[in-house]
Amino acid sequence: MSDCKKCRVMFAEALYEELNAEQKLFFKDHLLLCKKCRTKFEKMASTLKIMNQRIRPEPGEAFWNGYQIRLAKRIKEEEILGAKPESWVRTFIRTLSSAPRWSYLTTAALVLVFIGIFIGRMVFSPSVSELQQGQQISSITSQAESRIELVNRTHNYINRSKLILLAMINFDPETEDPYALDLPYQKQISRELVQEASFLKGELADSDQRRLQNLIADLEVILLQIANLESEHDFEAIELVKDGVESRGVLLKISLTDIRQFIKKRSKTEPDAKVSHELRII
Amino acid sequence: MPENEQALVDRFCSGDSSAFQELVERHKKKVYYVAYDITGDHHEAEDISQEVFIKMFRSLKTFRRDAKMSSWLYQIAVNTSIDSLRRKSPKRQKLMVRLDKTSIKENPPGSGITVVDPEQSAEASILQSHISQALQRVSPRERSVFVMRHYNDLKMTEIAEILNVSVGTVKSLLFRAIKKLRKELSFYLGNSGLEATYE
Repeated sequence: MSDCKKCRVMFAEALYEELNAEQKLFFKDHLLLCKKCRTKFEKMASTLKIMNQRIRPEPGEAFWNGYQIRLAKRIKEEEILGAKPESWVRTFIRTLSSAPRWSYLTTAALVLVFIGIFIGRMVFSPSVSELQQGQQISSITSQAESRIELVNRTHNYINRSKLILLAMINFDPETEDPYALDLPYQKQISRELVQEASFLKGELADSDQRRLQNLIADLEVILLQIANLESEHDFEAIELVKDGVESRGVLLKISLTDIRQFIKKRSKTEPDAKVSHELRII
Repeated sequence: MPENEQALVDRFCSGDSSAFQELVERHKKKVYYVAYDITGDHHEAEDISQEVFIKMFRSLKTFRRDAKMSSWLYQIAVNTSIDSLRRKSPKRQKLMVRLDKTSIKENPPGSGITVVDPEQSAEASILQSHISQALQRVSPRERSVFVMRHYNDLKMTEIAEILNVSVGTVKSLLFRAIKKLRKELSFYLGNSGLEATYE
């Protein structure tokens, strides 16, 4: 360490006269030789002389006389505050701080497990919206399936009715036919079909298939007439049935329904412009 | 002959509250002044000094027999004052400018100030204001060391004990504090005629 540095380290002690005899001697000698250090030291000493001029305001006798009273009052206040029942927050903190170490570890482990479960559920399980979407899809699918099943049942009904109607229309009382009308059987089937018609109409109305519903209603009327026939020799009644079929255009409607069904099936397998063109023509 | 401090502590521990009053009476000025020198505010200083004695009241029973009472009280006072300064924002820190005619008249002897006329009084007032401002510019730790050494006549070894640091640290803090004060008061150093000599 250079002498200047050594001297400056002693400044604080020199200013307050805390140097020992040996240090004092060195310091004094160095200041005589080194002007730079002497100037610096003088400036510091002058600063302290200015600081000596600071006046520390005296609070006065009254302040000191009442000091003990004010202090006693404050101690009393603090004691009252200290004696107040502890708030639940403080009690909780105190309980926590006095809890053993293993309880902290167990709590931390449990918290970690719950956080893990929570994250796992959030990341890997489907959300509520996804579940709702799935339910919607399954309900739509089931609706479509029931609709297809209803259409198939209706077409089956129409085909069976068609056979009855064709048998009635083609019946000619003038001709000796081994395959002539078996009216009791036709009546029985007609009765069954009339019963079925009421259910089908309701289902078709629900699924908004108005065209098929109207056709079933027409068929129901004719089939009811057939079911009410008294004998195969009641030609007037059979003629009335035939007129009803013709006037209502039931067979034409059945043919159109068959064509539509056929086109629909084809368009599902070959969805091209040709099919749509056919549809437009129909 | 004043009673030994240890005897007072013993009396307090045995339930004599007048012993506590005696201890407060002995130390109240020292504690108040050191708090005032650090904070620069009378109300703050009173508050801190009372806090010091409340702490003493609570922990006097556990007070170490070999420890020096005044050092212990200084330690609490300095730490409480520094904490108080830290809690306050710099903007809110008041400057200790509480000078009026009364305070100057009540100035303790040996301060070197004699009020002659209003002009001199105004000049003195400005100087006081500058000194106060200069002290506030010094960091709380440096200020604590400076006021303990300069205004409360504590030796560097005592300050080191109070602050629980080495004497070297105290020297360094003191040196830095004086250096900063010199910078702040440079206006007065040019023409004050306060040349120093080392005897």
